[in-house]
Amino acid sequence: MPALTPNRLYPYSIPTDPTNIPGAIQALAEAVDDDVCVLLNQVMGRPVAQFRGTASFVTPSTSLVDIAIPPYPAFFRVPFDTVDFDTIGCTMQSQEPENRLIRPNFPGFYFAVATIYVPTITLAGVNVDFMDTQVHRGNSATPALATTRLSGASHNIGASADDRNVRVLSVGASGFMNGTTDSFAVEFRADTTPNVAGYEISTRTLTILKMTQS
Amino acid sequence: MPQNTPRGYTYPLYSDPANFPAQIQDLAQDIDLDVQSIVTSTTAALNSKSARVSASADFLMPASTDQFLTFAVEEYDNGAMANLGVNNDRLTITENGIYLVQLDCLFDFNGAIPTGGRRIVMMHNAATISHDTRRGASDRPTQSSLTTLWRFVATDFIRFRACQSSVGALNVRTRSMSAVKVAD
Repeated sequence: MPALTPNRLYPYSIPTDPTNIPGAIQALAEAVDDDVCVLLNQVMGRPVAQFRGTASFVTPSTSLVDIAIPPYPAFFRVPFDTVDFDTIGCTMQSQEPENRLIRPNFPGFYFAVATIYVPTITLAGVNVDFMDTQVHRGNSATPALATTRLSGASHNIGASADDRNVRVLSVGASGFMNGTTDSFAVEFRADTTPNVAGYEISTRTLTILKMTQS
Repeated sequence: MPQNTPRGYTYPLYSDPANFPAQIQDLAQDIDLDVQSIVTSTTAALNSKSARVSASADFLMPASTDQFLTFAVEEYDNGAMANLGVNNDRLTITENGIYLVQLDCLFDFNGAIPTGGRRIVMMHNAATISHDTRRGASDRPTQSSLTTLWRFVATDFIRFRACQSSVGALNVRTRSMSAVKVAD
């Protein structure tokens, strides 16, 4: 019965084994080969995923704006519809209202960048007082519940012709995700005077990088 | 006399006495040690040194006075970078390298006009790495965030400085600071 090396469990002959040099070398070679293949499969570029929302999206009424105090309600989340790439293994949850979560299926510390293209509002007589993008951590088991704010960036002046009619809101975020329920959500809020039924935004992205294995 | 490959794997020469079990054991154990060292290095590389600290209790910010924000919660730290019991305003680098650093905070509003600006500054020891400024508002919070790559050496520390230039004091509410090593 061959013995095994202490770490990788490669087989090698011991004096009491029947003499079978080719067989023993083959067993060792195959064990090393299998092990190295497994290891190489783990050595890849940093896991990364990107999700995109391409269809126009109209936010809820701007009368609902409230960024000051948690909990953060779910109705500000923006939907996604396209997976640009995903080497992490993420689940794009239902993109219906009260959900709209992106869940990494493996635990670790993650870094994320969200962007939203915000066109100039076209309603006459409406002034945009505020708009912002936030990245939140939600719970896919209870998607409609409030989420934890990870980061945000706000603009206390609206997009205008000075922005070439579209401002790109961008924000980075970091945080631990548990791989089972923790999920990313991206929010957009705008406040206007007077309030309007909704604010139409265009493309938005969420790019996620996995930084650790646990 | 047995020889070694460049990675240290031992093999017998044709002229060596035949002792197959001992020779294959030697080779297997050499490969075992080498592959295990590669696994250890790979695992370390896949688990970048990372830390995130945060706070949600209000931090009073006087007008036009730079303040180093403080933190209360070590959310994640696999690199012993956060030690809030000793220094609650910083992450201390424990391993040389290039880090992705991210700051975020939410300035409350105070109703004061003029509203002034809001500034956040990423600090490397006593030097500025990067900053973000934006117009404040008198009747709603202002959120700022900042992300930068920077090279650090062990014992360097990162701090988060903030300032607001309205005519009165206001609070900084939720805030966070994180650092993740991305390269040697």
